[in-house]
Amino acid sequence: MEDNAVIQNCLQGDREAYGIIVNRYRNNLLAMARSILGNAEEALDATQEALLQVYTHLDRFDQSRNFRTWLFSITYKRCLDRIRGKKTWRKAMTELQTTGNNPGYYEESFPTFDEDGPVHQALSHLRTKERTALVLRVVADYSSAEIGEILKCSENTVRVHVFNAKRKLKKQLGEIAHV
Amino acid sequence: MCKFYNLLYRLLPVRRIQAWVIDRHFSRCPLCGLNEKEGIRLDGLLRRAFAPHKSDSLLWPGVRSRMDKICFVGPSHRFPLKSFRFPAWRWAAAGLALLFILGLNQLVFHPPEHFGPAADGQHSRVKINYAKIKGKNAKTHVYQTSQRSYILFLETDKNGG
Repeated sequence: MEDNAVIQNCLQGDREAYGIIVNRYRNNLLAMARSILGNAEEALDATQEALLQVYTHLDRFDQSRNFRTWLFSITYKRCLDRIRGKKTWRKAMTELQTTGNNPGYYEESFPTFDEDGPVHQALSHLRTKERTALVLRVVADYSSAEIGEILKCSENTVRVHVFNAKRKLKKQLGEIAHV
Repeated sequence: MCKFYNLLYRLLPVRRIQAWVIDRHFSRCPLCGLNEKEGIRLDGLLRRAFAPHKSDSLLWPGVRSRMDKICFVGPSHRFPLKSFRFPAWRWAAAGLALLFILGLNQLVFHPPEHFGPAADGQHSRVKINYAKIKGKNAKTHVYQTSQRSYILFLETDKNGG
């Protein structure tokens, strides 16, 4: 069933139809969220929030547009919001630390990139846009045009991001292998 | 040599020919072949690193349980917000334009009193028809200080000319 047909069903009140959309894009959405946030649980939470946001605004979706890129761009923004929130939280906690309260608490609760394995370790050295572009290109197999629409940049910029990401990843993986 | 093949690949329009050119080159060029293998290995590593997680199956149940709390409003009942969208950069530009106009207005119509030479517009406060030193006309200069007081300078030659 096409995305637009499923959306029509959802708009007519069929809540279960939304499950088709969720399960269709689940793996790629979560892969993208994990690449940004570096934490499976947080990625799951952020994706859930994004999917709920999409559901509540489903009637505002212009059906002449690509639903997939709309869904992914909202999830991408949600993940970025989380990162910003984390940064603010870290700042507040650092201030608390300097006054002597809650030493080391935030370090445990908000790790920077806690997924296991050398690839995730290497990915943590990449910029967020580079990581996202790489995962969408390689794991989700999306075109540069689609990724550009999601990340709000041009196709050429996406290509540059992917190229840089691969170069950095190779270098980082080489360094990890030599340690 | 690799650059030549790259150029050839870009110039040839047909995909099948392009693929043939690339395959042929990769089978002969050890450096490009190695790069290609490395690229494929990297892609495989990435796919494996982002393979579905065990917690992924919780996504839909989580969304479904939270959906019940949402009161979904159909499209016919919603206010068409789309037409009222005004990007943030436009607000910023409009604000800057307004500030510019206000500033310009302030400068043109209400200039600060200590701004510019004091000679113009001061006739109502300082009125000097003539000044004479030793019976001869002297040049007169009025200077307004920043404290809005006036200093009067009379200029004449040593001989009184």
